[in-house]
Amino acid sequence: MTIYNHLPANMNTNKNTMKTYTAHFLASMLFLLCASSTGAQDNLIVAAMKKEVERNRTGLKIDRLRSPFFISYTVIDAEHLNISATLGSLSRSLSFRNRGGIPFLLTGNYKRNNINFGQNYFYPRNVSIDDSPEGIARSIWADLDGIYKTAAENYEAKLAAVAQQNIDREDLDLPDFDSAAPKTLILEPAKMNLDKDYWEDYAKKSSEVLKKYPEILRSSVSVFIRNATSYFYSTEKTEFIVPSPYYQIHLNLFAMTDDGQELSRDLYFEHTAFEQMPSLAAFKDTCEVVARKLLDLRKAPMLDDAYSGPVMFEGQAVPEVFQSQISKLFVARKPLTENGGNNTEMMKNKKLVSRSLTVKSLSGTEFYGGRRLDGYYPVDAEGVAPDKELVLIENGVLRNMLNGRTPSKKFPRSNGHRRMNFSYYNSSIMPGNILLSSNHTFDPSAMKQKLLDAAREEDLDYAYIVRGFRGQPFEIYRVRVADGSEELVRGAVLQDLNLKSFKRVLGASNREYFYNTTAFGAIVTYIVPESILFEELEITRDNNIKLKTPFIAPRPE
Amino acid sequence: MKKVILLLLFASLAQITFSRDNLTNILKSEINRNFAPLKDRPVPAYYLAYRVQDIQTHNISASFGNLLYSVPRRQRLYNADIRVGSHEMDNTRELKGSFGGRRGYGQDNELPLDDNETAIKNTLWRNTDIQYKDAVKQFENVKANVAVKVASEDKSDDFSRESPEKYFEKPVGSFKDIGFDAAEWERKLKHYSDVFSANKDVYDGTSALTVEITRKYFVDTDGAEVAENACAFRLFVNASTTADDGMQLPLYKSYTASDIRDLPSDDEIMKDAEEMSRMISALRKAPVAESYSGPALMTAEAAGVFFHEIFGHRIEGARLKQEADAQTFKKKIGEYVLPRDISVVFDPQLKKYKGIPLNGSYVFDDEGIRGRRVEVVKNGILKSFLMSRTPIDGFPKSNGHGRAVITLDNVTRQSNMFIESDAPKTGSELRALLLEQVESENKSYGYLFDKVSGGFTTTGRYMPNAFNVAPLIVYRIYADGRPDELVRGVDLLGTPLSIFSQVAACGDDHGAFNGACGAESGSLPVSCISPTLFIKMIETQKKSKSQTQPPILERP
Repeated sequence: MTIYNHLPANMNTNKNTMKTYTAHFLASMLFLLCASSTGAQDNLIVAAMKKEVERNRTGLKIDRLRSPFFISYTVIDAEHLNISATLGSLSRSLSFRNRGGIPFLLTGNYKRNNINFGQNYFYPRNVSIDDSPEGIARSIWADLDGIYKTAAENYEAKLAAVAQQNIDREDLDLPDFDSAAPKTLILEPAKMNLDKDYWEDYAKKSSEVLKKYPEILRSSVSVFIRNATSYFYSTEKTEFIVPSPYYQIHLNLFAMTDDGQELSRDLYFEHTAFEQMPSLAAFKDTCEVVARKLLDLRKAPMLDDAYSGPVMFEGQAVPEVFQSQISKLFVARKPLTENGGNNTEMMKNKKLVSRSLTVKSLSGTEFYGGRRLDGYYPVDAEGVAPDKELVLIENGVLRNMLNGRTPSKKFPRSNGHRRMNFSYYNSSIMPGNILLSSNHTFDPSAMKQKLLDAAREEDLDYAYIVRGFRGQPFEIYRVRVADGSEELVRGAVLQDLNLKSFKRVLGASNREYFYNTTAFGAIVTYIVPESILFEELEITRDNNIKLKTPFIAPRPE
Repeated sequence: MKKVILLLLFASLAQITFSRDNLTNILKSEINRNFAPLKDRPVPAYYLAYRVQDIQTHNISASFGNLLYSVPRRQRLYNADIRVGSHEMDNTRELKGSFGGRRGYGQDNELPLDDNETAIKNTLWRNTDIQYKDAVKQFENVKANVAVKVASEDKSDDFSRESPEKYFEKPVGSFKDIGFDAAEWERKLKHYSDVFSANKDVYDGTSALTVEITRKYFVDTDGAEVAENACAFRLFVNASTTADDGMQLPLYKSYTASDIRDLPSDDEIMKDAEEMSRMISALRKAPVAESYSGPALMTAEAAGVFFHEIFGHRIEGARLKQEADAQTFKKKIGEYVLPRDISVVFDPQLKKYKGIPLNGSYVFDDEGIRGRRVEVVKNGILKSFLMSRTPIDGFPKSNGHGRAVITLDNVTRQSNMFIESDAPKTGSELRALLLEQVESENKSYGYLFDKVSGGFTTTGRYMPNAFNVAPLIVYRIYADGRPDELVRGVDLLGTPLSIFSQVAACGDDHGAFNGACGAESGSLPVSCISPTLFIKMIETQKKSKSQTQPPILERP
């Protein structure tokens, strides 16, 4: 997962510094022109998909078993650039293009079909990267033949299993798959900077600044760029061509404390447009800032106490701590004859978190507060457009959950959140843009005082502020109640953090914080309060830290 | 073969002037710097080796005339071998009663692609420290294990003492320097795979090429320094179909060369692909063979796999030291283990045999030891074993067969294997022998195993010490003069000692099996040159098969 993407105040993006790279820019523009000129041929892919999918819809039939009633096929065409550098030298530079096919097929009908029963995993297949209708059709033919046979068998097994069990009427009546109106959406390919020379230079030069920090034992700057376009056709007559551009820069640092604790730090920048990425100069500065912070942590004392009391999360830690609980808001239907599912939906219209908190999905919103929201997408992997705004939690009460076309009892219709999973070439329920807001807000300057007041109320000498979080805090400060002074500490773990922790929130900042992270290769944007104060969390020393003995040979000169 | 040996001798003389490149200098300097304090520790390191492989690959694949991918890649990976204790007993000794090996896949083993001294030295320093500490822990485990378990039957040292060699080859350079043009090969592969477009019986028809330039570096604290190149072109043409009963029927043809000029011409490859396409259709209609025991012929290529699996893995020295290994041939030095006319030689130095490029060639193994010719069997009598730097009783030295992929530890592995007979028979004589045997057993037919996909064997004691060879093309040869009949669906199986007692004659031909062998130290290129074999009694069983029907719709 990702950590913060918070641009420091002086951080320049490439929007301001592109003129510095005129030659690279011109080179990349030349590429972009080429990419655009091939765009006209792209419908050839959809045409080939349409023809072969329809041939299979009518032609696939085994004896008495039913033919498929629904088929969709997605081709993901992607160019990839994967570069890594350490201390000024490349350690990886890989560029390639591939096409993967994702079939989906249902037998039976919308109400009762082969899904929500057993395993339906399908291994993605390489599709020809030549624009050959026959090549594309052959992949579709091979995929659909395989999954039709599995689906037909699964459907019969499901009917038999259902007949042998006393299943709740409401569960039985729930359709297996939601129908959707036909849709056509053809978007232009993304204009991306895939100039290998430019990014190699970027990675080398930015990684080189870490030579100044010999206490950083290992460091790398990695660039990953994916220019993906999804081509979709379904027998509901939905077809789309949608680009999913993705840029990622990843800084990884590793150091060790004098007492032998290993410390690592990861920083990611993830965006959909080149102009949003940090310029080289700005990123070099960031590398140094992060390196110095890690070195500060090297010298920080180890936590030596257990704590239960108010804890404030700031900056990157706010979206990360919220993200750690976001899957509770994903619909996961219980398969008919098996265990599983997400019971959070039974809390619909009940209080789930503090009444001060409201959570909205803005997946269909492209811009917010004058900023581009990178988690925006026009249509999900099942051909459903997400709402511009969907209230998930209203003043603490659960109203909606993120769903795809698999209905659940409380949320029977898709709200367009079955997103393309670029890591495994399938699809998963995932958010796009999430807005977490509070109606109990304070100026950022007042938030720390709120924390100290709350700690004082509990007769505590100190409280904690978490400013870096990835599953557990990696940047946490002990704050003295008496004078507000802060001390960076290490080795802390949060105990029992869960969605219930959001029930007892004392306040939030009135300033918004934007944060991008990546889930299965797709960007998710969080807009959250810049800080949030929890009434009570438990913090203890991490007993799983394994301290290493010092290096035997001296570090090389 | 003599001509090739002479050529190689000439090539060796050309390397007498020793030079060294920058990366070797960096490795040398860092190994010495790290070793100095480690050898003075309470548990001293007594040996340290660094291996680096700079690997350039280009993978291309096409299907039915369309390109699937074309991906170039370069990586520089390293591995270290650190030993604490002494040659007599060190951290690598097998822990009796434990199933764990030594180290698994290396971590953080990527080096910069250029010779950035700071970055390379940092990585080596950091990882050497980690590995030394792991080695010390492991050595303590070894000492405890030795104290509580029964004494080892094999009293040999854990690590051999060798004379270090220095060897340097000039870098090969880039793909362009070896005559590889990706665009041209993309066109060729599309062309080869397009052969299958005309045959609707072929459900999957592909061609694939892997081009690899590997520059291998080795330095150790004994003083060895090696910088050697390995180029490989591996071309595959594959086709498969599904019979009406669900049986998957794959066929393939592979071509291996270290020089692009040694790959066959387009015409030859196209001809092979067309033959494969015809065979696919024939196989779909071929009857399924039932279980059988009786006489069989095994063509040269199939015999190569047979010998590699059944014999080759059982003369790998390090394996014979393991208490859990069945050690089939360990105590049989000087005894007949094969028919008296058969000799078996391994020779990694040979790059070609009678014009056939060999896959298992190298100058130095992955322990910095020159790969030597080893006469394993002479006229049926077992003479020697393949050895890495892991000695066994009676074989204290390596003969250059310590091999591993860069991410794994070395073990003894095969190289180029040659099966020779001093009483070869012609093809018609072998056939006559087969039919004679068929008639003597009152059978109506014997088998011809023409082509195999590979095989596997287990050499341990816990499971039956058996082998399995997977034939792709098999014929029945009838005693009554009927035409040979193509059949499908058999696997060849057996146990090693009994099957060798049944090898009755060898042909005067030779064929190569060039493939990849997977074992503890990863997937490594190997070759086996063998004549056709006549085996008086083999055993087959029905091949496992899919229960899935053939595709419902015709291939687009």
